Amino acid sequence: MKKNEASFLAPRRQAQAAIVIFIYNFVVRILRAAWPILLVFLFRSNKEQSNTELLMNAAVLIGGLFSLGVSVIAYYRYFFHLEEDQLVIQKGVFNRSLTKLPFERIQNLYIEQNVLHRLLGVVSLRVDSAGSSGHEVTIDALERQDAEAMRAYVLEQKQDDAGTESAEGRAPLTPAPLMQSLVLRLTFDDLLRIGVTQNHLATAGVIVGTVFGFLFTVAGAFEQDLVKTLIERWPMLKPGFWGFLILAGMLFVLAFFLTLMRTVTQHYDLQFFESREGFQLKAGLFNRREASMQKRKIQLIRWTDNPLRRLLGLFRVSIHQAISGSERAAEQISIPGCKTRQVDDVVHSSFEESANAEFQQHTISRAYFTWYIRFYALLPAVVFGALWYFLQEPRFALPAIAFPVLGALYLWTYQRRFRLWLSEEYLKTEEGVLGRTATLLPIYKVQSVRIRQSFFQRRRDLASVQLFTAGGSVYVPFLPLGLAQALQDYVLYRVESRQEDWM
Amino acid sequence: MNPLFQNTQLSIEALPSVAEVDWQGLDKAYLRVDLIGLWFFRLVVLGLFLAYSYFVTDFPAGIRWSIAGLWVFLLLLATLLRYLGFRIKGYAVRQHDLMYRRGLLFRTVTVVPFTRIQHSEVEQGVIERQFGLSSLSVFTAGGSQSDLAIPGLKREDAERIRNFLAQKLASDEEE
Repeated sequence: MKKNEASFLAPRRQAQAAIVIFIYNFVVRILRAAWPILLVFLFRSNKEQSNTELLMNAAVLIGGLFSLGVSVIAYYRYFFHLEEDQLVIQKGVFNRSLTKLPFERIQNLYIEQNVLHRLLGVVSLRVDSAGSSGHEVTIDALERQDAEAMRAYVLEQKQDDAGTESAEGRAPLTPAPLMQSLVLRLTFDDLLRIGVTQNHLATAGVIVGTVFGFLFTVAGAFEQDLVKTLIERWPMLKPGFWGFLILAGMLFVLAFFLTLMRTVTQHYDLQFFESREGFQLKAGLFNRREASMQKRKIQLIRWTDNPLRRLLGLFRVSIHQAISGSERAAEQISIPGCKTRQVDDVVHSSFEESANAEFQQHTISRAYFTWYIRFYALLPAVVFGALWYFLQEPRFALPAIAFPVLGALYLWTYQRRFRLWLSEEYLKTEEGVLGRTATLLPIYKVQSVRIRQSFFQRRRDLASVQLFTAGGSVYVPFLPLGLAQALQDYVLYRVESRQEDWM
Repeated sequence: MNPLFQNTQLSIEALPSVAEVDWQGLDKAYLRVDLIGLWFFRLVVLGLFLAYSYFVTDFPAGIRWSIAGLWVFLLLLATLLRYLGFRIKGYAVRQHDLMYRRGLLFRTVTVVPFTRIQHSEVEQGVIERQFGLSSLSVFTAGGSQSDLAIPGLKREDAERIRNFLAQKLASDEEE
């Protein structure tokens, strides 16, 4: 191990396998960008090539070979090494770039293996930092023991930092214990349970979107309306009521199996470990992924269920760290299939003393219902009702009735179920109608506070509060104004009265 | 009001309150900057629409003029809202945080503690420059939604606040 560490202190290249991976990535990129053109090229009826076409093909071919060469050279010009407190990467073929990533800024470390990596017997190391989306670093190919040694080195250094900062007044820290205990391991049964209780409607939506996108692109490439052609050739494809029903049924079955398969492959043999300073998550059938994160960098924790999962007592826990920009929210680490006990484990070990926090419970105002019912129930009802009445079209009757009924039910339930809990150090919310989401955050992690009042809320002395952290925000609508202001004042007092490292 | 946090020695009433802050209004000239920006863009769009509907397509005159009329009406409405909303806009600098208030119909107050500021910028738009105004933007790690931008500051004021923030941040780091 020590020998390995030493070998990272001087600039070095990746494992040779990286060339293969670079080329593979390159081919995938080309195929992704140019598949409609290739499709047309393969299936066109006229095999004769005009001169201009030949010239264009030659240009494409030369361009392709050129970029292939570039990606091979890129391997030879990619160097990385570790310095005392930072990771340094030099790369670039035409423009050289030098990236220095201080360990202090590192949020997550991933060791990942896709199928190709596994064939070649290497892993990739990805480092997530707190900066904006450009600020992550990937080393594509490393021997596994090298990657693990690097990870251990980085984590140890980070712990040393934390140790020296908080050492005053406390017992001296024992040297970096990377001892881990298993919090959760998913068996195949667990995976099936999680897969079956996924949101299949969402998958169905994605399928519909993808199919339409595909048809659109292909139609564009062949310059004709594919759907129209298909229907002209086989008139039975023309959708009627029963056809639509069958199609919807098939779509749902397909969505069901796709989500199930995705769940199983993504979370296969999921293991979640806890050490004193952090967590580690391993999962995946084809693509293996190991994520390491540190407890003191956690900004907030969310856990969600849905109606089916509630029956089984299962939650998905997501651990939010400082990853800026909501577009990267999906990159937060989440663990499906946790029972209440494991949720408590994660929350209480991440946030000191949160198990003993004394929470005061608050609810939101009924006026929430009175305000939103206008937009989500009454307005659509009036619009569809008018269409129904004036156009004499009975098919508008369904939305005209469904919107107010379902909308009112939803808003009423949402308002009744919303909960805010406050303690000296923590804020917790629970919300949702069908599925419920709970969020817990230490108050000192808050970055900024916003109070919002519409003219409607001002008349009734109500206000909505939004608290932003570096890992996501929490929104509490329609609180009594006094409570909202007290919350704002207290959060600011708590954030400003002490110097704490929030990241 | 119901007691918020029992078990603590501090009483919430004694905490410094955001609600009692004296808001600093924006510079008077900013209203003009704001309205010029509003009118310029909308009028260019209106002009393009009229030219297009007149020369390129055969738009029925009635529809063309009603669209243009609606556009102007909305523009006047927006002008009225900006005019009334100007008095609401304001900022305040406290010992430990910076805040900004805006919104006539939907009033928001955003507060950013100094300790959470990542960096700050002073910017000047084309129109702002003619009036010697600047805007101050403050960025936190909480994402773009949580950032705070105060427009309509005199150039010197914006610089002064920015320098004050920089000093604050530097002295915090030393501690």
